[in-house]
Formats: sequence, structure tokens, C-alpha cells
Amino acid sequence: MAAEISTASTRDQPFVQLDRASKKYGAFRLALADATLSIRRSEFLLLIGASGAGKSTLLRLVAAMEAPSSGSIRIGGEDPARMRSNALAFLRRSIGLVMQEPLLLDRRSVLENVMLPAIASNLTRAEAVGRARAALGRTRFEDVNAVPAQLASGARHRVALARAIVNRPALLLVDDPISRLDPDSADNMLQLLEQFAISGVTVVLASQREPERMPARARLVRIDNGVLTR
Amino acid sequence: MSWQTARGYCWARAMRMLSERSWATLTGVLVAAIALALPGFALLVALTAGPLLDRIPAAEATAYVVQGTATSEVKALGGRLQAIDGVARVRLIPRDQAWAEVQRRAGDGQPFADVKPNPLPDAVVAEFAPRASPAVVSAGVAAIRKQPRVESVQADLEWYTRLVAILQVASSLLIPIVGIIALLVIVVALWLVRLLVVIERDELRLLEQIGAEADFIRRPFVYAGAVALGLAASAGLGVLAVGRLLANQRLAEPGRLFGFELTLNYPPWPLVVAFVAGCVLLGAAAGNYCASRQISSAKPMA
Repeated sequence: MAAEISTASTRDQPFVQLDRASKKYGAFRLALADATLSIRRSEFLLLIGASGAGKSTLLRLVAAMEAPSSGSIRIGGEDPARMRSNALAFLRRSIGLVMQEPLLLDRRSVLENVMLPAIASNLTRAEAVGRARAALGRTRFEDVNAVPAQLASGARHRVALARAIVNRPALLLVDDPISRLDPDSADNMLQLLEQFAISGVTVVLASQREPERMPARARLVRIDNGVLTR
Repeated sequence: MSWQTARGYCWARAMRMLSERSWATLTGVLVAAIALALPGFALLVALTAGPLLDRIPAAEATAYVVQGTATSEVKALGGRLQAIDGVARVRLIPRDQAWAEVQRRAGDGQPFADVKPNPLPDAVVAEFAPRASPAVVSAGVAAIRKQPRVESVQADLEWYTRLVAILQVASSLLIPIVGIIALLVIVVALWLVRLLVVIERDELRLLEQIGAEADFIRRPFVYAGAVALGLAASAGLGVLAVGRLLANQRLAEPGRLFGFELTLNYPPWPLVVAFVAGCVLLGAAAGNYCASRQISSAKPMA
């Protein structure tokens, strides 16, 4: 079941709403330009764009990891830029984020990595272990005692995905997990993400290329040089 | 208990910070221990010097009374001296008592056997209040000289003026020295905690990303800082004990020369506990400060 981050009165509103959101790094580099986008609850959005097109920037903005330079973003009706730090932390716990280069703690086991968000959410150790094992099971990763440094790229993505879903997020943002996977693994990953969307999680998947088999639920949005196109 | 799990994670993280670079931890703790032993040593000296200051003799003036003065007049003179500003107490030394004392000190009394009658006058000794200012003592001596029936006054003010000057210099230096030592301790504490309490940037980013609250992120820094400085304080007490042992061996002889036991005593245990607790708190505060710096440098919401 997905975590709640909005009230019933906002249920009919878009779950994620970007309104002319731009992100500028330094004085000249415009990574995202006037992006306007609505994402409904339980929607599976596929964001397609070349490397450097602005996909990761958009995901970081939606994950409340960065604030837009101009325009606004609302998640569950709330503007992260106006939130207090504890409310922002609560919002982030409701969002699962898998970066292009999964941020894993290489000195700790896979299980410890996946448990971390659950522990940070004040779950008991037993609950955290249970959830971590279940999440790893859903991403079909078995060697829970392995160390991330020893894992291949695809396996690291699956561990990062397990960590992203361990807190049962309402919103799952996944940055380009399929570009480096073989077609079968990419297909498995897409099926898995589609299952999340079916179970009520809003999924945004960024990718450099269109998948060979397009998920039935997916809505495709393209991005080029920081500009969203349909 | 979830509370315990989160705390347990933070403790484990703190211990990992300290153990991952065990040599740096050991060196840092030893250096901090020596630095922390300094104020402890100053405290030992202060605790020992306090009672010694009370043993410093107060200034005295001896008024020799004109020969032939009646005992009642000598007593009345004693009463007048007692009333002089700065005089704490007065004692009368009758001439017979003084003469007997002189003869006793001479041993068999042979040198004074032929001296008759008793050549000594009655004397009144005025003892000034401990650490009375030299100006007050000087004015008091002048007032004693002006009293009727006083033939002469003996008061060695030179040594007293010097002693008071030395004490004044020492007390005026005390505050800057304490300030410098306190500053040194704070700098060393911050240095130690900054040296040891380091979290990988990736881990900080990750904790931000997964929505860990600020307390959860800070706690390992706070715990590690507290443990590091607590260890340093405990080791500092060991350094202090060794320093005390060595100092006492050197102080024994001068103490014998001055006629009192001169040894540095270990501070009372509530003070020791307060010292360690203070260091633990200082370490926690330093850890919190380091956490703030590292978190702000990670720029979560740029």
C-alpha cells in the first residue's frame, strides 16, 4: 500500500504538478526550461530524452532534492520549497528515488543498505529487516549479505530500487535503469515498475531510449535540451 | 522499540566513524588528553595553593611601651590599638614574659646572668587582617606610632608589600591564563571532533535523499564527539595522575624547607565526574557543530 502524502480533498488534483519550472545551474546552464507537467496518482510516466536533456534534473526537482530556479512544483498539493525541514524529510520518505548512479554504501551489506530508509523512518529493526527482505524479493535480488561494491550495474539498480520501495512510497522516481541492461533484464524492470503503478504507486521512469516493449499503462513524455515535448 | 533501533543505528554509525581510522582516533584522543590535563593540573595547583594562602602570615606591628608604664595603661593601649582600622587582633607581651623567653632561648642563661634589672619594655603586638592592603597597614603603623606611651614601633612592611604585589600579579594573571586554557581546550575539542567525526559525502546525500530527519543525521556526529572527548577526558585524568605523582616527588623537599606538607591532592570525585561530564557535553556540542557544517556543505535543497 502506498504512503499517504495528501488529504482526500486533493485526491482529484494532479499528484505531481510542475508549473513553468526552470532550473539553472550557474549563470548560463539552463537544465530545465519552463516545464509544465501534471502527473496523476498511480500513473506510469516514461520520460524519454538523450543524455544531458534534463531528465535527471527534472527527477531531482520532483524528488524535492533541489528547488526550481523559477516556477513551482507541487507534490500532493504541497510546495516542497516552502516546507519546514521535518515536513520535507517526511515528504522525501514518501518518495522513492533511484538515481542513474545508484547511491549505495559500499561498506555495508545489501540488506543494511535497503534497511536504512526504514530505520530512518523509526521502524523497529525486525520491521526494517522484514520490509527490506520483502523489497529485495520484489526486485528479485537474493544475496542480501553481498557488498554493493561487488555488484554489477544491473544488480546495483535492483538493490537501489529495493531501497526506494522499502518505505512503500507514493511516488517512485527511477533514473535510467534500463539503458545499460540487456533487453530481457530491461523488460523485467519495466514489468516490475508497471506492477508498482498498478498497485497505486505513481512511477516516473527516465530513460535515454524508448523500451522495445512499451508498458501498456505508460504515458510517454519527451524532453530535449531541458524542454518537455509530448 | 523503533526509538532504540534508530538510536542503535546512530550509535553504530558513531562507533564506525571512530573505529574506521583507529590510529587517527588514538592519536587525537592522546593529544586531546594532554590538552585537557592542563586545566586539570591548573585546578590541582589552585586546590593546593588555596589553603597555603591562608597560612601566609598577616602583617604585624610591635609597639614597645615606655619603661615604667603601669599595666593598666598597657592594657588601655592594647584597647586603642585594637580600634585602629585594619587591626584584626592585639596581644600583650609583658616585659617579664619577654625576658623569660629571651633567657630560655639563650639556653643555660649564662650570657644574661649578670643583666639586672630586666631591660625589656612591655610590648603590644597588633596583627593586621589577613591580606590587608599595604596602605592600610602603613596607615595603621603610623597611627600606632602616635599613641601615647609608645616608645617605638617595629614593623617590617617591605616583605609584606612585596608579598601582596606578587599575589596581585598572580591573581591578575589568573583570569587570562584560565581564559587561554579554556580557549585551548575548546580549540582542541573542535579539532579532535573535526578530525574524527567525518561522514562520507555520499552517505550524507543518501540520508537526505531517503528523508532522514536532521536529528537522525546529526546524532552519530553528536555521539561520536561525546565518546571521543569522553575518552580524551578519561585519558587526561590518567595524564593528570602521572603528572601529580611526578610533581609531588619534586615538591616534597621545598615543602619540608618551609615547614609544611606541599603535595598536590587529586581533586574530589564529584569534580572529576563533572570534568568528564563537561568534556562529554563539549564533545557532543562540537559534534553537532561539525554535523551542521558538513550538512550545509552537502547543500540538500540548492
